[in-house]
Amino acid sequence: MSRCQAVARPLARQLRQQCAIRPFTTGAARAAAEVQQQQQSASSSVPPPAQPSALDLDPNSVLPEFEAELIKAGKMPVGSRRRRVAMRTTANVPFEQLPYQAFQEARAILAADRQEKVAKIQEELVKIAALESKDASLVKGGQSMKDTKLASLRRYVEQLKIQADINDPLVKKRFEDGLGDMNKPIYRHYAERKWRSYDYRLITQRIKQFNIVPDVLPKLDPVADVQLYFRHSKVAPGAVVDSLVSEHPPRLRVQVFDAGSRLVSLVVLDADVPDADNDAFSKRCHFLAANIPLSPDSTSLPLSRITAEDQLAVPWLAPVSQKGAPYHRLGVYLLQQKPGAKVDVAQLKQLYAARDGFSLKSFRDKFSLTPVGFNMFRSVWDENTADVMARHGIPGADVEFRPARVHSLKPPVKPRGWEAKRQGPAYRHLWKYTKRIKGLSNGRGWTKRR
Amino acid sequence: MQRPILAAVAGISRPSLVNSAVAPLGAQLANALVEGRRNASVKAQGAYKKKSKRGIPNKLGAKRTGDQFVIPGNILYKQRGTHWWPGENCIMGRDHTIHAMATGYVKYYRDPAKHPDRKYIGVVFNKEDTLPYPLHAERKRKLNKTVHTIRTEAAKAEVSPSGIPFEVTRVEAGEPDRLLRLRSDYSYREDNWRIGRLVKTTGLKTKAFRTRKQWFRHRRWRREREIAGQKEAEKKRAESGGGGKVMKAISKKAAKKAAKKAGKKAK
Amino acid sequence: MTTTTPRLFSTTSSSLARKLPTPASAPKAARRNRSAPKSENFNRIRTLRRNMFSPAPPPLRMARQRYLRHWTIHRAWMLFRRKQHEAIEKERSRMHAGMYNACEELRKTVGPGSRGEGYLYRVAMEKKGVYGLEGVPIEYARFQTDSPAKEPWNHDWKR
Repeated sequence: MSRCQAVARPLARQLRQQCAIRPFTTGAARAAAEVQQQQQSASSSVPPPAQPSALDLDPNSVLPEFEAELIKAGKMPVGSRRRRVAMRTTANVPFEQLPYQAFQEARAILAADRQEKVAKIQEELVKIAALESKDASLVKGGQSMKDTKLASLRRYVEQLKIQADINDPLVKKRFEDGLGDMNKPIYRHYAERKWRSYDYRLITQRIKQFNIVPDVLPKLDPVADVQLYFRHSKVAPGAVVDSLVSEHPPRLRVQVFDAGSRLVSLVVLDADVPDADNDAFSKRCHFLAANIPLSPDSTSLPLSRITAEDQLAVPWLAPVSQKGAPYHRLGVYLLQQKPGAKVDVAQLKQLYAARDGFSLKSFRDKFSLTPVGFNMFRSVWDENTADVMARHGIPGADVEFRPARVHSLKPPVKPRGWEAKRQGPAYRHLWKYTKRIKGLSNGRGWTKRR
Repeated sequence: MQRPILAAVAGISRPSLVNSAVAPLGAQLANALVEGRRNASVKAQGAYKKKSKRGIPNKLGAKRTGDQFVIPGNILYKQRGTHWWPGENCIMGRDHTIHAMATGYVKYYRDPAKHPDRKYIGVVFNKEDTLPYPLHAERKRKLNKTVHTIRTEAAKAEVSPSGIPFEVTRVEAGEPDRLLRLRSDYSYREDNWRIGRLVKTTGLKTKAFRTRKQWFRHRRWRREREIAGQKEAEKKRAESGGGGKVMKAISKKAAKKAAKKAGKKAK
Repeated sequence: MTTTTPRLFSTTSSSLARKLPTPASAPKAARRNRSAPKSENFNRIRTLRRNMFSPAPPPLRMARQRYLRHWTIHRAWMLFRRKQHEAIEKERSRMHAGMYNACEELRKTVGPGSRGEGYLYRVAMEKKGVYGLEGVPIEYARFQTDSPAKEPWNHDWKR
């Protein structure tokens, strides 16, 4: 800044303040304060000393001369002085009307694109209506071809619906704030993209590394987001949960990414119940419910609230692990029922009341279900397990598992070494050195065996 | 080397330098003898074909045949590199040795679903099973555990037969409580491992300054601060007292010296 | 206070004293003559030297609304570019199809006069004399490279 500029700067600032009325100032209080201040500065050429207005008490818009007061009061001014002046003059402008040229140009381009997409949707809808009203015999390929065509047209319309809104910054903002309406395809699209970017990968990794896929189901590719909450806190997939925490049923957060309501069944399955008699593992059902309605906008699913007669088949059993047994993998499986089909819960109760030996594969096949969601946690023996088992009448708290002894294939070897060689009566004069060695032999003979 | 012999050797070696192919063998040998080296033109006599007789054998290869019974930890195959890969219930050691991890029967097999051209060694629980197991079938696992009732520790009496307690807690203000135990010689002493616990071993800060440079900078700043403070104090004193004796800041050593001097003068 | 210690006993005036080269004045003396002839690539080399070894610029850090505006502009820019590319592609394919159809038409026509089918097409495809008498395209005289120069041949070049 040159010298003359520096001298003229306060003057220029005064002039600028007087003509700084911007058309988009909509904040009533701030604007009023602004006008008042301008009137003050206009009426007296010398500004009156320090009469802070409401704006000057706000750390977001305080002027430099009132900064010290505010700091004394314990509030630090926010941002640069330049920003604070800007905040005074441009309050409460809606986001889409912000006066940035490139931004407004961009909005114009995006709006034009949206118009195009909407027009295309209209076209496709007309096409769909025409095809629907057309008789199947007139369509080349018959009814099956007509269905295929209709399905592909509808898919295209869904795609267009997403593309029409995908460039809207406000939609993006609303989704990021968690205010998106999941009944609209664009928000579902955003949610699915977010899920696929991390949580889906995590879940597939857990499925693979915990061998869920060959052990429980031959194939499992989740398409819905299932999250597990014990006592209001989220549990990462595969985490070891304290038996006291998992004593009460968890709450699920289920987000499906396709439109419409559907009925699902819910299974919580322990895949590692030790079976000492057969030297093997078996499975046990810890919770079984069916006919649970689910839609994209209803995400919360507390297992303790599922109590209806036509829903709950097998109530929650606290997952416990006996002492010394390897960790138990407890999977939460969400299986979608066929559209409109209800599962007979009475039959479920009759079949699976015993819990033990539950096979998810046969359950899936018997009631023609498709697994859509998965989450899991683990349970091990901890200091609370014995109490939990006593409270719920689960036997087995008094036994522990120890690794089975594997005996060597080699024949036993006689003791070797200097002392072992001199144990006989021929070496009686050395007995004081070769007998009763601490840790090796005692009065009854050789103790240490190979 | 003596002169005449040197001349003779030079006389011998000269023709071989000019055209060694024509030179007689005796001359060449003499040349090599003198210079202590062997030319490439002299062929080595078949030593490269002989194998060393005194090597330590590596004893590589299969240590267990197919269908043989093995227990965990048994070595199935020793190799350099991975001619064979660990399959079902097997692991590979640091030197590519393949060990069994379960009690069962050894199987040598290929698994195109896993890898197109790797050979695997596996262990199955039943002798008649074949590897690889069918795709998407449930894994075959064994518990490998035995059931035992949990033995609870017998409650220990608090007071010894002689009527004094086994444990005493010593409480001192400002110190952690100490648990003293009754020893066989009827003395109360703290456990050695508890004494060891008292010493803090982690998170110790041995050096206040990370580098020598930081330390010197800190020292410089400290001195500057001291000097500035002294000056200020002096100024303040001058302002408040006006007159009075201005004490000169001198070191302890210098003060002692001065006192000594004064004493001497007085004498 | 301005006098320095080594000059305490000197009798020369301070203005005549030998000046030590200060770090600010050192590169000034070493700088080359401004009027010296610059190479034709001077500007390119300068830009390269400035930018090639400099660290990457820091990542963009923006607040919420600013980021959203940035995102909007970015999306619009991508959309605009895609539309532009699509339009160019469409125009090119249209032109190519037009030429293809014309050639096809030529190939199918019979004549003129007693000429057989496709005569006109064959004549049209002939490249005789296009590159001068007995000539070949100048591109064939150069090495074929992955990144040819913008200007295939500098005809004005003289040794």
